[in-house]
Amino acid sequence: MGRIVKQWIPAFIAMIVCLLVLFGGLQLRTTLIEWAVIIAAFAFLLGLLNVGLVHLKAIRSPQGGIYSIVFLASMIVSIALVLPGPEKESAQWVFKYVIGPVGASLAALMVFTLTLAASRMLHVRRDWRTWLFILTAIIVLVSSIPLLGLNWGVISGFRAFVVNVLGMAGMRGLLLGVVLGTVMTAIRTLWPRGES
Amino acid sequence: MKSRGRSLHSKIRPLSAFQNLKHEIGRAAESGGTVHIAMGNGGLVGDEAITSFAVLEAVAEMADTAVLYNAPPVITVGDPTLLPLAQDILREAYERHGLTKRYNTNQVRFVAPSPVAYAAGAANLTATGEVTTTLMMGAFGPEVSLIADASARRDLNQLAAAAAPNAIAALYPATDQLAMGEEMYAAGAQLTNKIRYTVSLQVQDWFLRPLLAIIIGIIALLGLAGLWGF
Repeated sequence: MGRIVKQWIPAFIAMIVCLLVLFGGLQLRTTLIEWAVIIAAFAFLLGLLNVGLVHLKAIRSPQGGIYSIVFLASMIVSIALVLPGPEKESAQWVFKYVIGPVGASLAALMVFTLTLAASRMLHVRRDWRTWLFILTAIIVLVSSIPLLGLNWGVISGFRAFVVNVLGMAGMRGLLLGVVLGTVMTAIRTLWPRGES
Repeated sequence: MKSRGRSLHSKIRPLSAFQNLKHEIGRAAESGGTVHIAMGNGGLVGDEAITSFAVLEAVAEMADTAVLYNAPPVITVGDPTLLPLAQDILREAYERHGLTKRYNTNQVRFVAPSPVAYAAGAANLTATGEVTTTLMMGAFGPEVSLIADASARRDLNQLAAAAAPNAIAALYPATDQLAMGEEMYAAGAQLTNKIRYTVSLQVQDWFLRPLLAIIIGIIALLGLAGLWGF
């Protein structure tokens, strides 16, 4: 009985809902997706509570938590500024002058972290694949830079071949595998768990 | 049926990203540390839902080992819809072993909804916590390099699994224990001997081979057609 309640009934409900979303009318599909969005919104509140509790605990810990204090203070100020509505000036100010620039700075950091990772790879894994990776990355990057007065005919041709033929073929093969993996995982998720 | 399951399992190509996971949990337990599982920004709503389910499967299969070794992982999520599910998986593992009192809801943490902010937050946890191993598995973009960099700076062991090409490109220089593309969905089969995983992996491979043969055949035909001037 326990197995029916815990495994088969949820799986049955999930399958029915999936079939309704796939083959049901537009109205029904929209309604079900709206329910999912409402649940996701509640999950966001839960996430906010979780992140607040984690940082409150960090403040109380013996190591202290200066970053946690700054985080919680920022969270309270941001909520206060955004609460009147996302279209209000205060909310726009937060997006324009805080969230946007901080996000852009972090994204810019990625250039350095990726370069560092490549240089570390040269120290740790010195095999032909590493050299191939580094060499390809350098050629593709260098041939993408507009250098006046230099004719990059051969290198830019090589770049086009690497990006459009080798890269694209590899990516398509990868994505085909991902699609198959996704389908099998979806079937496993919907199927009731009978352990062996 | 069990022997069939074993014979299927024996054919699975080992992936170091998952084969070393249980060993890493043991190592974390010995050193009094923990394993950080970064689940990325995938959630239950959207394109990355199935990727997130694949990660949850892996977490579910390793949760028992982590609880038994008393080395519970710290799980970070970038989408709040995964928070209750991951918490439930860990709680159930504690319940199965009669250790419900030891369960702490803060072992699963929501960091931030935007990819870069999530990566920065997860990287901070890796850089400052008692983490001995980082497992980056889920829906990531190139921002995953922030977490990988934080791990590399502390010389932590890094295991990774990603399906998105730009995340694979960012993770490839960071670790040699990387499961790429469809390999990510093989986590369950790699971590356990359960027939539901091994059979689905075999079916996945059966479909993949004819597909590859068809693609290679079409390329060969087009090449020949080009040579003959059609």
